[in-house]
Amino acid sequence: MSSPTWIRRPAVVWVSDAGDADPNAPVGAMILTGRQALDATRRRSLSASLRELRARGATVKTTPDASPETKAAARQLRSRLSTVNPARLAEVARDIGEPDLSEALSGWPAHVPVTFETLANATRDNDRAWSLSRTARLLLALEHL
Amino acid sequence: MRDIVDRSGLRVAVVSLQRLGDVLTGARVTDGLSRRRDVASVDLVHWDQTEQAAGLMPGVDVCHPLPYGALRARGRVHPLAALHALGAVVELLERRYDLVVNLSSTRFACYIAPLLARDPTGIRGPFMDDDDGYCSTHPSGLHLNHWGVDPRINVFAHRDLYALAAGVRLLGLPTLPEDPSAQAQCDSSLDPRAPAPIALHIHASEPSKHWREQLGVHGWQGLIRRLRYEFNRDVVLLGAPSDAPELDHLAHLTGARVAAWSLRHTAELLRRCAGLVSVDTVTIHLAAAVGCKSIVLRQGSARGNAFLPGSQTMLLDAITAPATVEDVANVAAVHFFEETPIGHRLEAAARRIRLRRCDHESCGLLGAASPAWWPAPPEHRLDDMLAKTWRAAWHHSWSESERPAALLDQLYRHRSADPHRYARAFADPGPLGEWLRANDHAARPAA
Repeated sequence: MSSPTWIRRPAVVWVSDAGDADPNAPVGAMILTGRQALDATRRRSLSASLRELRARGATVKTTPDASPETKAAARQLRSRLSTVNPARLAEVARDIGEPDLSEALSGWPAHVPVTFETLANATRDNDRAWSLSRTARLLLALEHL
Repeated sequence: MRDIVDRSGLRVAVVSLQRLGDVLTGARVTDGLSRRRDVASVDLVHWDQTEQAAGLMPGVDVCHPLPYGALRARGRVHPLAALHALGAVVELLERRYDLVVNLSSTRFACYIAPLLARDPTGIRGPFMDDDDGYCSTHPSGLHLNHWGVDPRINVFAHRDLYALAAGVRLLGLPTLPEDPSAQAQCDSSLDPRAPAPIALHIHASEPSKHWREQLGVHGWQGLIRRLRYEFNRDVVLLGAPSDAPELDHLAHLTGARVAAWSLRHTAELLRRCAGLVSVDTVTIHLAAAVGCKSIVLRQGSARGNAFLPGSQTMLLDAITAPATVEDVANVAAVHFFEETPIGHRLEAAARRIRLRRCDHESCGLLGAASPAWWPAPPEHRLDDMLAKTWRAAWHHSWSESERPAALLDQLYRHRSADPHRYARAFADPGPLGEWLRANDHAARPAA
């Protein structure tokens, strides 16, 4: 049994003047026009498909010869999908079905970096010293990848 | 891969999240487990980068490639993206296996392996327990973790430690099954009337394992010419398809041929070769798995016993300098073509390089020792003997409760010649350390 196809493909949002007709768009990318990208950034909350792509670590790309408006829209969408702010990661954690992590991230201390290890520590069962949850196991495995 | 049969029994997962050569060294485990009457199926969990090796493993029903590059790439974006991806991958295998045999001592594999087992008691090999502690169900797993690959102290081939941890018998190595499509490619590429060619693999996975420069009389170019003319045989350069342009250039200069093929096809080619000369790479394990004799040119991190490929292998380890073209040709004459060794050619070489032949010892463990015809200095013969004694002593300590008095005496008498191993084993908390300390205490007053 192979892993799901989406894992083996880079998660990309492709912002293009040509929209769906752009032959340069990577396989499996979500293709948006500049206007659609701009609309997505202006909405109060992200659409389910964009939230899923953010959870997969999506990057926002455009062609070098795109119009300035399309490039600006791509830039705004990139910023909206960025998870630099831990509060955004709290949303992502909720989206991927990790409520404990979401809770931990919503009150994340500013001086603590968000790493596999610190996240794993946040999910340990505090009642039992060092007892590893499934989530902590996965995070610690990734820490040592 | 074997045909899947519908029968009840244990569902087994073998976890081998390592490199190509490491995956191949688990062949005895997958083969041994698949032959057990109580086993219904054997699945292999491996990295997608090792798909070629995984596809050759005997006894495996289904391969599950985990996406190494994709997980790393997601981790660079944000940790939750990698968690999301790994969670989705693991979910497909989670709690599905009655027995999980982990052959990888990496922390990644040790954290993941317990998630695959239906029951915590269904794990063999190393793993991380719920208290975040490193555990192993067999002492060989702890030994591998503590003693690692350091050539000064480790005496075991890792494949033997894997087999011990998995509970499969040590004696005998499985041969990779023949492949008709690969046979057809070899038929069309090799002249059946010509003598069996000599294969060369020149590219190592890391620079410290490289032998000599490609061009010039003292490097691969010189070796190819020497082998072609001295033994009057074709030389075939092996490598990954991506190596083809470089190999083509070398072939153009020397008259060699190039077979930059997949592992499956390379395995078939090796069956038809008189021998392989190679740096430490996956090809030496492939050669061992199809019964092809090999000479391995080892330097840097490649030395030691951890990655011994199997019997019929000669190891040429650099001491003061890598083996010369003359050294390799001399050893090839004896090892590949059973010519009588010429003593005066070997004396000087034995000061520069260490030559050992791999063989299975009576208990089934793989060892390496200088052949009788090689003028090895006394310290090398002593080290061969001590390494064999340590193997036997450790193995004994993992399976028997009785002290092996003769082995312990031998190790005690030679402790000053083998200080690193002795000191480490002396401090070991397990039975062997206990025996050594007791033996030392008993022997000292008389000494």
